[in-house]
Amino acid sequence: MSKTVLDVSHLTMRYENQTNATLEDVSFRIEPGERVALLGANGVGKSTLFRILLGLLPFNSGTIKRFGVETVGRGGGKVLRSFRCQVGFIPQNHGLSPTLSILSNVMHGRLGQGNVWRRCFQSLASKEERDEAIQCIRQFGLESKALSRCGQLSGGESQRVTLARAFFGRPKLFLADEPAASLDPSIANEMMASLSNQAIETKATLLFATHNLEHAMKFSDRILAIGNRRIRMDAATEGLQMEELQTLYD
Amino acid sequence: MINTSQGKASAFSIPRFEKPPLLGWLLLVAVLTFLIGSFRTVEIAPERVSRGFSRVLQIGREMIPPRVDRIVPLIQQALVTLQIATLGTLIGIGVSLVAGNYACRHVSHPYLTASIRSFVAIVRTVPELIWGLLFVACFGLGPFAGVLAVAADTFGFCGRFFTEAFDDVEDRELEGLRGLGATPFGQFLALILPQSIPNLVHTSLFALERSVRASIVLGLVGAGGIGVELDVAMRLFRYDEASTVMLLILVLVLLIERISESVRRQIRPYSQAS
Ligand SMILES: Nc1ncnc2c1ncn2[C@@H]1O[C@H](COP(=O)(O)OP(=O)(O)O)[C@@H](O)[C@H]1O
Ligand SMILES: [Mg+2]
Repeated sequence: MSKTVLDVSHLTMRYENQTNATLEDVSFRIEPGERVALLGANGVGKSTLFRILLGLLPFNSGTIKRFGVETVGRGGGKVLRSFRCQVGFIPQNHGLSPTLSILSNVMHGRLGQGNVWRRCFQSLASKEERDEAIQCIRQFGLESKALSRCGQLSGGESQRVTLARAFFGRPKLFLADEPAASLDPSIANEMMASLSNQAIETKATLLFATHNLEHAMKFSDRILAIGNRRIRMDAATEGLQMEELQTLYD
Repeated sequence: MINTSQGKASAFSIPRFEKPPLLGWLLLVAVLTFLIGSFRTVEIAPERVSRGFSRVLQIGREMIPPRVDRIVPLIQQALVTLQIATLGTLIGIGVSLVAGNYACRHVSHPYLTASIRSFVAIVRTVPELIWGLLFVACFGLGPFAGVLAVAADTFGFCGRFFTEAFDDVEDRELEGLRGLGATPFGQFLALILPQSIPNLVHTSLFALERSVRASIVLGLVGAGGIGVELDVAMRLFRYDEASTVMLLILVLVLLIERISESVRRQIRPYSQAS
């Protein structure tokens, strides 16, 4: 059995300009191949948790082991970056480069490895990588727009680009922060289905935040919920009832 | 009760001016003394003004018609000025881009950021003519000193505005790339730079316009180009040739402004996209 993907224990985090902690004594583990849904009301700290897991934000106390390795404090930049290179991060605000093409943006999924210039601009990329990126774009039906600038895309289209970018990195772990938010129901469903399938096919682990309880039930093996700064629920999806999930928002 | 303005205004009047404190009076006296002193220094006198004005008319008459027998070498010198301006601007822009990467708050160490910014500020405080004098002293008369002076001037200008453009990118926009493992330079190349391109183009075109004007003036201190011709013509009282030079300068400046205006129009849709 391979190493635990994420092992978080007694994590506490408070933003410097806030009086109360955003997360307090949060502990959970995520094993390889699991698909975990992260639930919680708006502003409960889901995005904050993703940032901490990626090492983009410092935390106050507790430990995080990523693929079995703990980085101490803020340091360990190299270790953190090599972890991030194995992650397909789908940020809540898409963070695409508006003046660059879809294809270039998708190539950014591997910006952390190899030659920066060739991973940055599609026109400089090697044929194999370019073809691979095009393949990722085709998966989302955007190949006819591959060279359009991302600034011109609709919300749904940019969300697809962030997914394609994450897929291109061939990550071992997907961290998806509300990947289906602000999309119409059928596209949202489609988006979640491709993410979940990709995770299953590539034997990757998936942690996704969502407000959609149906998605949580349908695409996860386990449900993790944050409420009142702490983990409020950590249970296998099988056997859970929709009503139980609804109580999380009361 | 509410006091209406139509009521007894005099009964409750608000002074138009606050009574200045003693320090205010002293400051006023000091400023006035300085101004009076300035008039003394520049020796403004009616007869001087009228005498100068008649000279203006006389020189104006001598300027017409412009003399065109040396038009070919003059046009060549105008081209030299243009070359000094473009080359100097390009070098300045190049240096500003590199410095901008290291001065960008998102991808650089705070100490490095601060020191580069101070350096750019120092470069900016020195006027281009002084750069010209300095480089002429170091590298001798001619266009080379001019190019360096224009480059220094452009660096002071673009270095600042490029850095500001890079800083306008927001942290949360970079989060995505950071989370995917991008190095600082990767973040710069993939998002900060492309996002700033419309802004950079605007700044660069403006820098080019400034540089053309600067490189004309730089001729006056011997840093090459059409300015040298103007200097010589004026010193030798050849006002008819000086007017040819001035017309050439006018054409040059208008030309550059036209070009930069049309490029600006081309990139407008890009700046709206982001
Ligand atoms: N950069 C920040 N500085 C201070 N407080 C923040 C910052 N970002 C988020 N917060 C606060 O932290 C809490 C959690 O935010 P967030 O993680 O974005 O919630 P969620 O993603 O679950 O909606 C919110 O109350 C928010 O106001
Ligand atoms: Mg969020």
